[in-house]
Amino acid sequence: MSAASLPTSPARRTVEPAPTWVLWVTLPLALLGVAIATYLTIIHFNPKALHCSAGIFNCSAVLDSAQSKFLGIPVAFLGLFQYVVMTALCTPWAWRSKRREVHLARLTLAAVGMAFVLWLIAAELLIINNICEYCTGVHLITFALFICMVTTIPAMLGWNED
Amino acid sequence: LSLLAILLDDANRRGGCSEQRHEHVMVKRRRKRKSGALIAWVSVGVVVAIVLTFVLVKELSNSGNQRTSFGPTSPQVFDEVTQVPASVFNTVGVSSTLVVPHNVFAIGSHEPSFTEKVNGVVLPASFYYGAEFCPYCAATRWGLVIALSRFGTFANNRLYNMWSSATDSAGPNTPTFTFYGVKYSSPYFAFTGYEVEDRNGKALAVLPSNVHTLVNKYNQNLSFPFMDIANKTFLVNSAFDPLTLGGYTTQGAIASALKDTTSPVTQAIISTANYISAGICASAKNPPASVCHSSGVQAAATALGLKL
Repeated sequence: MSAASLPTSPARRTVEPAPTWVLWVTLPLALLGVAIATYLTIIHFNPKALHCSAGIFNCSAVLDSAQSKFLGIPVAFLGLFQYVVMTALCTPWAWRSKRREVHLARLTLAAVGMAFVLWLIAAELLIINNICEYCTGVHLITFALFICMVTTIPAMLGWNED
Repeated sequence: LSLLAILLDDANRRGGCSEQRHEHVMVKRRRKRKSGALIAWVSVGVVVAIVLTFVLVKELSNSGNQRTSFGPTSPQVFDEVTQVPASVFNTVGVSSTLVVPHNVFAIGSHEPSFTEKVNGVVLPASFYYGAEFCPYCAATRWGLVIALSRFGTFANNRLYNMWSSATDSAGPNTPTFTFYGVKYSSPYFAFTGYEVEDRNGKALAVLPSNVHTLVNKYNQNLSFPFMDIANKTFLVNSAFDPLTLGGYTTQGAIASALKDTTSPVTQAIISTANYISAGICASAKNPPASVCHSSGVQAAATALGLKL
């Protein structure tokens, strides 16, 4: 291939500053996610600490189900891991980072988390036939974070522009 | 001067060009931003649409098997089964020859202990394991619901009508209740009812792992119905033949017959309730003397060999 036919390497693109609101919204959400995921992880080790109702809202039925593990790993652990990483990525320093990878990682984590939540909702509604209150809290937080990420990060990374 | 005029004119022309170019870029950028925001909100919309689809599928599957169409029991039926007079319990005692205690119940040793923390208090725990299609469960639930009502309450004063499978010849369409979606609370012990299959044999409730372990240990055939009261008293068989209820088509018909202590149906149901009550009294935390010292429950305890 001749040098002329090689694509020209564009100059490294800059990162637009994040809107101020997203800094104040995402960190508390991520911390709340850590709190609930921590509680669910504690429940995994000590099921008797669980306080939940029976009937359609029955977290013990969900947390004890086969779907409460993914590839042998308790989903509560995965949730805690995700939210610890998300918290780090939602600190003001991370939001102000000029490194595109940081923002890309945050967006990817939010998208993967959202996809996983969709699977868990399907499992709760269609397989287990019970809904876990605490898990629903985590799902709502994941959805809120997903909205924050998809409405801000693409613009920050300049994907919306030429 | 003329040179200055030419330069100024050129600069103005250039300025005009750059303004036009800037305007063009801004319009393009705004258009791109709009499309970027659209993509973002479309992805949010897709997530919402997927969740709504799950909910819709769930609703359709519920209406498809007609589970929910049975609805809650009428207040009158609820009162008749949850407020059986003490005189009925004591008059019937365990007089029914249709309920053979040693075929229906087994006595264990409380080992290992089976407890549950309810609102911060550790209580002896119990559970019922059955299925909505099962006619044996349908017959047994009558005595169980009546016994439970002596020790606690059903949330929102609500039970739900159910009929056993229409095609099971052991007792087709036996009127009964379901424990699915029903919450029960008592200060003396914890109870949860698990209906693991619906009226059409489709999977319903999922057992928590500790309950699953106990079912496998004490009910190795996984037969319905089964009840474990604190690993001490076990219901291991149908309380009585479901065909006993064969002439009844509604819950109301059976419930209103409960006043008649000479009826074989009343005797079978109330005897079952007294046996289950005795099992609860043997394990519950400070159970009510008004129930556990009653002659009907004492007679049941003696028949089962339980010390109260």
